Amino acid sequence: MELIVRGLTKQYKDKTAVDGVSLRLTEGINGLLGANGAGKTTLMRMLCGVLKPTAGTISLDGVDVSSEDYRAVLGYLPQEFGYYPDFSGMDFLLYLAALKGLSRSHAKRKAAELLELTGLAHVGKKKIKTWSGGMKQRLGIAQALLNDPRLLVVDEPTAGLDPKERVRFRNLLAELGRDTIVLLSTHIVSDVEHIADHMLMMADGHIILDEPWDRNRTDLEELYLKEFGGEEE
Amino acid sequence: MKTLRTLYRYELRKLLSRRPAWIVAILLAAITIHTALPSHGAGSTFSVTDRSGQTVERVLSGAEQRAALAEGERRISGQPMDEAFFRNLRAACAGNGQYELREHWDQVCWFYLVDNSYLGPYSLLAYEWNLDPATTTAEQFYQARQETIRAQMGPLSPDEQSFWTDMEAKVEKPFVYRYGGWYPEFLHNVYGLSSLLPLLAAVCLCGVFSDERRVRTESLLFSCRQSRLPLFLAKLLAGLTCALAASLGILAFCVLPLVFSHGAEGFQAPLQLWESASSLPLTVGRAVLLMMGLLVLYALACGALSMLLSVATKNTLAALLGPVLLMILQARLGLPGQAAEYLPNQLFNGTAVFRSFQLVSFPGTFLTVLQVAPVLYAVLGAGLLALCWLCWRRWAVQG
Repeated sequence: MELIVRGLTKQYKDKTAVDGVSLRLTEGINGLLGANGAGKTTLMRMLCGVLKPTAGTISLDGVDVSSEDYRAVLGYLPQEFGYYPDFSGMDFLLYLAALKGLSRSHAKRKAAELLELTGLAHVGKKKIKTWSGGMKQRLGIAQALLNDPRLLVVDEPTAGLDPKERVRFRNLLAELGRDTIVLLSTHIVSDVEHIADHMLMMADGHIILDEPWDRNRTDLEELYLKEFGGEEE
Repeated sequence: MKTLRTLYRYELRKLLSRRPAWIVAILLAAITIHTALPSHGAGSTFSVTDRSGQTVERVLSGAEQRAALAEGERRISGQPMDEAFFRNLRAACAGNGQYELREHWDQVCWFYLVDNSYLGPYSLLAYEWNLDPATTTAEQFYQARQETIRAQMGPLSPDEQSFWTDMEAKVEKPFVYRYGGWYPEFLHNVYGLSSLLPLLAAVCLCGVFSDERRVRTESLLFSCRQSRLPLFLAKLLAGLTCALAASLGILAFCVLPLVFSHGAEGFQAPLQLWESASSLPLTVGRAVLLMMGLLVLYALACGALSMLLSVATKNTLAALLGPVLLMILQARLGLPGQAAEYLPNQLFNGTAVFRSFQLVSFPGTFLTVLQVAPVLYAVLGAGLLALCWLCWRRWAVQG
């Protein structure tokens, strides 16, 4: 299974957010590091088909990003995770499951399973507007996993999570990465350095680092600081 | 299909959870009920003196006056308006020979205090037809009507005149008098409602698409498989359901108080009793149903406009203000010629629409305003919905 990106460009009026990016990603955790404004979110939105590229192509095992089949195996957690305040967590997952094309019975089973997995089962029937920020973020993670994605794109997923939840989330991703292409975007080095199988770094719309990653390496922070100065939070 | 049903249910839930929509709907319902309920205004003093000099004087409240009118109308309901009918009316205007009724007000007092049987026809002739009930014969009555119709048909082409002559031939004569005191009030309420519907539709539907941007769910939605057509259809159906429910609900609030205060009678009355110069062979019941149907179609078109603004601007406030501005504009700006007849302020002014002699030429025949208007609003609504789809397809997530 491979995700192939060729010459991907996104041009806004006066700015090139992503400039001719080419990538080849396979199963495993693919960390995407970059400072704010590097073009990570734009790249991820294009990879998820929610933003049309100005130029370039994206395909997963030969299936184009614009096709329904591509979206059928895609899981996405956007950076700004929006929700419907008056929906319960369970309803929110069932709604998105319908959008992802899951049958009602499968959706119910999967939603209950994911609420359990993300530690939200006890509040599943409560309105989301009553939840804490961390709970909402975990709901975002749950919805991304609804359709058992083969390509999982998560944009700054640990924002709003406490340290314990971060560790839990990292472990979950590491497990998913065994048979899924996970693209994990962050500007926090510790989120990826010990779980990534492949590391990407982005600056000014360009990929400046694209190489397999040894989880035992300890120089990621050094590399990052060299490229981006003191921008890590 | 199952997916569409599930999505539709959730979209409907999103719309129904909008608190401002409920507040406006409840307010409009309250205004409608208040307008539809008969007013209990101050009473009037009626007095009448018979030939022996005996005077009867009574103060009748608004409710008592209405009850007297209804009681009298029900007594003569079903009588053909022939010469015998008019003879009785003339006799009543003369106090049946026992009273000397010199002034119009004396006659009114006599009807209220002595015999209210012909109070309805008296009011109809005096106020709706501008004829003197005390002297008018059946022949004069029908002739006066024919003259009005002829005058209105004057500017029409011979073919159009022939069309209306055929229509007029279908109007049954002599008219059969029936109680239908609620009809003018119904028209008045529908006219009021038609000016408020765009506001209701806008408040209910302004967020149907644009709220996805406001709550930042657009990225999430568009990354899903069913996000384009199925989600669009679900949103559309939910929006139209809301517009339909709102219009039917408000219509119910408008009609039910009238039924409570007047009873459900008079549907068989010829429309011409209240729309004297109309040549449409309709009963009051059919005219009312036509008006209600038109109002529902208008509500759906307003809903479609609100949804279009919602998806085109992706801004809930703009989608809210658009129909409201249009509502103000259509009341202030006039359209030239025939087109003006299709504007809501003309269309829902029952008097104008039922008395209109405008025709639209259609291969082999002519169509009246009442036939063209539903098609026009349905096509307009469908066109707006098609534009919604184009905008939804091109919806780009904010960069």
